[in-house]
Amino acid sequence: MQTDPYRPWRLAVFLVVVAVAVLCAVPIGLSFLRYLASLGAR
Amino acid sequence: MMSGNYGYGGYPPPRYRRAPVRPAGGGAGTAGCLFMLCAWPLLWLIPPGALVYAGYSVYAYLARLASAMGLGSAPYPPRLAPPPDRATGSEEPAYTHYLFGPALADLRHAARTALPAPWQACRHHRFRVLDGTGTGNAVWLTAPAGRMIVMAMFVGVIGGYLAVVALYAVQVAVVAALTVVVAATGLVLRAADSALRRVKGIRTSCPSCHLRVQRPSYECAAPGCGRRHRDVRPGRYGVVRRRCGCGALLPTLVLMGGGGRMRAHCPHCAEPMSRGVGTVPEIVVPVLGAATTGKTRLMTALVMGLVEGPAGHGARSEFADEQSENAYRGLADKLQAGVHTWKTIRVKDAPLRAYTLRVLPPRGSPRLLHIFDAPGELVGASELLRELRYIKSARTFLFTLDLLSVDVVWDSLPAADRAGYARLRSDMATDFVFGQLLQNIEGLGVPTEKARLAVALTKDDLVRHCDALAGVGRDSDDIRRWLEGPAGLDGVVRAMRRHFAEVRFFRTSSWLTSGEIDAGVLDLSGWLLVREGLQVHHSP
Repeated sequence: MQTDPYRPWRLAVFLVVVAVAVLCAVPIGLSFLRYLASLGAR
Repeated sequence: MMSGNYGYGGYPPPRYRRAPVRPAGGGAGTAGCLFMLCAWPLLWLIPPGALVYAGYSVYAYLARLASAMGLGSAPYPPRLAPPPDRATGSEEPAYTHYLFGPALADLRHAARTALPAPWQACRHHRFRVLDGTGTGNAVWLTAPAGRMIVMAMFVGVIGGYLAVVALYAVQVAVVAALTVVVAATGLVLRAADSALRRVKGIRTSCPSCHLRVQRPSYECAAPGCGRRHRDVRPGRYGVVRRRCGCGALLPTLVLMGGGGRMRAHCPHCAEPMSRGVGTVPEIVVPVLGAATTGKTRLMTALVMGLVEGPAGHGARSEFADEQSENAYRGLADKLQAGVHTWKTIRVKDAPLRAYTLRVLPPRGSPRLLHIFDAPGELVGASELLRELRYIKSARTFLFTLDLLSVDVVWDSLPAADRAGYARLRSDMATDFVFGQLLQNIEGLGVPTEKARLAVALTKDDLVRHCDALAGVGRDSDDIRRWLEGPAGLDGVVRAMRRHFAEVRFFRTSSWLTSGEIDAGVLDLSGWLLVREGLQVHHSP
């Protein structure tokens, strides 16, 4: 069975999308945790 | 009048009928109030729930995207047509580069299958949550909690969907940016390849059909494949490499050393071309002269000297294709055995193929040397001579002049020798043959005023001791003076010197003396190589 000739490119594009998702999710998540912490402090 | 038919359907349609109003009761209102009372403290569930569902939406999208791009444990990539087995139209038997087609198909496929993933996944959750919280003894508590969760889900999915659309936009932007970068790189490499070709002076001609070849077709080097690629330059099938339909990777930059592994074919006649064609400058040397002037033997001796002897003057030579080697082996055996070669006869419609050698000088870049042997009968007939299209690419010509055909030489031979050599003697007048050649060379557009002519006086071994050649040295000027004077060929020599930028005369013998190649042949080869710009150890 022949492997997908586009696999390296697809993997690269997908990893870029995942990386962008993670990079955006980290600050959003941190902001939310800070928000929860502020709620708890009140 | 009213018909009195107040049922549904039928004609005429029933008149407006007021919907029955349920009698008002306090139960629903009370339940609503209770619900709001219980739900109010659970409002805090919405922000974390929304965040969880937003994250889950993004996760569902990425999982579906991986599947849509053929990754992961359940790949479901878009269907793409496989490359054709043969080049047809503008199609090549190679996979299109990912960014020049399949990436767009992936984006369309992702829009169809991955973008709805958050909504589809959360819809399923919604039903489960509502079913799970709508029954039981503590429904007064679970039902409001379930409603809060669904509300959080709604907010989360909307947020997650926005994030997913943003990720899709990121994917589009990444693909677009990569496409621009890769296309620009391809154009730059293509231009560099063309510029390098021009700087190196690489012009390719087919050794079989003799037509100018802009780009040879290349055969896939993978065993058992044989697919031919018409244009391997950087483009939509690959920038640095392309993937053949068989899966093998092929280089696109032939000039930068990638062409050595692939076999080149002429795009006009499909005949195989020499190894390394299109990567190094080419030298075309046509050997012209009347029939039985010894062209084939001289050419064989030249090739023997270059490949096996010292005629390279420091340059190493090797056959660039099997056809050249096979043709040479047959003739070299005759040369070494000391027997005569047959007259070169052109088989009807068969291509006249050159001996092609790859010459590697001690310094400087290698060259492909094509030596063409034109059958004598073509040289005698002007209309046939025009078929020798390779002449157009030549800037150095080798003209063979049979010493036996020079009357003064022939007359000075003993009668016994004349009887023995009669069948070896060329019977065509030198001035007629040269006139025909000159006319056709100029007719083919060759700027003879910039071209060089080597005149090889052949069969010197047979006549070297005759009286007519007594006192004639091996130096070019000596030979010229003899031809202009006692030999009576002053008209031909004058025409040669008038039309060509440089004319050089050599006395040559194609017979081996104790296995050694004649000094005249070595001198001739050295002069040819030096004049074609090769840096070899020979001073002309």
